[in-house]
Amino acid sequence: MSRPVADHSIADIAAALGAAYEGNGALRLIGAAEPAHASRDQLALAMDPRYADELQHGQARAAVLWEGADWRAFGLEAAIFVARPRYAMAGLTAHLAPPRAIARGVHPQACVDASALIGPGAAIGPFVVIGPGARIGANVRIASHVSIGANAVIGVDALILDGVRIGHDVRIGDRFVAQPNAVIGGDGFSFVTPEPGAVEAVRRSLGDTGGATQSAYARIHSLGAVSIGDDVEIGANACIDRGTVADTVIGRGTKIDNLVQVGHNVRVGEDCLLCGQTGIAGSTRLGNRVVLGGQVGVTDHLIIGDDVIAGAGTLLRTNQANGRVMLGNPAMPMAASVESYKALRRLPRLLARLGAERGATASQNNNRLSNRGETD
Amino acid sequence: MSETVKDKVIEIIAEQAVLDRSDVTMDATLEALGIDSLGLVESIFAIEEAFDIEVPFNANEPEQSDFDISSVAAIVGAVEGLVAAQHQGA
Repeated sequence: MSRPVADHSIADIAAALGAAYEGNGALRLIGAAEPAHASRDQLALAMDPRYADELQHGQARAAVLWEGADWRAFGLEAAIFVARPRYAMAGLTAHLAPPRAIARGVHPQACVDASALIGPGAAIGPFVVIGPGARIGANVRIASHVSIGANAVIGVDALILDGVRIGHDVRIGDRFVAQPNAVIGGDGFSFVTPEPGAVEAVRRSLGDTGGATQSAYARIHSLGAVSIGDDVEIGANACIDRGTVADTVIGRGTKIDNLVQVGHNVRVGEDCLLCGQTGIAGSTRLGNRVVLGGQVGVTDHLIIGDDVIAGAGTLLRTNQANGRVMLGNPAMPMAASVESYKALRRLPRLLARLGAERGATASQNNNRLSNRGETD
Repeated sequence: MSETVKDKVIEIIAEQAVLDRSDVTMDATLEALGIDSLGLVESIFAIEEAFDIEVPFNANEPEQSDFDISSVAAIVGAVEGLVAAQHQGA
């Protein structure tokens, strides 16, 4: 668990969190650990009373604790108190994370075009390729095997991890983070048939091709690029396709998880969360603060309002008004989805009861018939 | 009653189209409001739930249905008729 990190005093860590501490503020620690596994030199993370027992079994001399905890009773020398533990983790991990080992400057085995501009303080690893006219902001860290296309622009303080592909003319704001192998600016999945085809007919009629069939596909090229605001993070192996004419857009503050697919011409608003394996089809617009759980699908050309939340596995096939909370496939407002699921689960018992009643009626009728047969 | 039906139908259609209610005029067609075939199905479910009625609607052949969806006014009229018919004595 322990990593080679610089040591930090309790007082420094508390100050970084904006949190209060009690006890020995000068105590120096090297990193954090779960309460039961913390060594003497590690800060135990025990922000919830349910960790109290584990804390007794670890070696920690200091811990981050829930507000009001009796730290002396746990035999600690010092404690930091936080009100919202998950949020405290943001500051704590930022303070304790070891710096990424990418040396300042351009590695001799990187291939940077002479016309590319690299900002001061940038660190560019081996086997990175940066195309002509690209502009890389100050203090950007680029890990190995990253490629950045011609005329792409990246703001300050970005962290671009191994193998990320950024296409030509892509524009990215400040403090961008891209996890390994994210692909930003591949061509859109955009093809057209010479005559209106079966797909268009089926879509209009909900199922009738009207005799139309698909034919050979002509490629619609992507003339647009991708435009990404400040403070955006993109997960490993996520893909953001280029726009057809205008750019595909990702708004400021939006966080995108691993394996998310964002199709061409999509416009994602600000502060959205798109969880793993979510897919958004072409030209759909997401408002601000939209949260899509894992494996959510959103079909093309839709309008998804501000503050819409879709639970994991939801398939949105129609526009959604602001603030809707949706679940399921077909997507329904969450309460209706749960009610419908309850009804679905009850259906077999209901059918069995109906069947039994019908059986009873049928056998009564049979009895009547056979009785009649006997009397006749 | 009829003003309530009209207001509620417009509210449902506006929500499906992601438009302000004032943008949903009585002579507008669903197509003009940007509501496609699946959006229409969702709107009909919302109407059924809001008015506790069953809408006789064939999603595959809308034009064959008894339920007239040619304009917002037609839908309001059709819903008023269904509410009157299905809530008799209520």
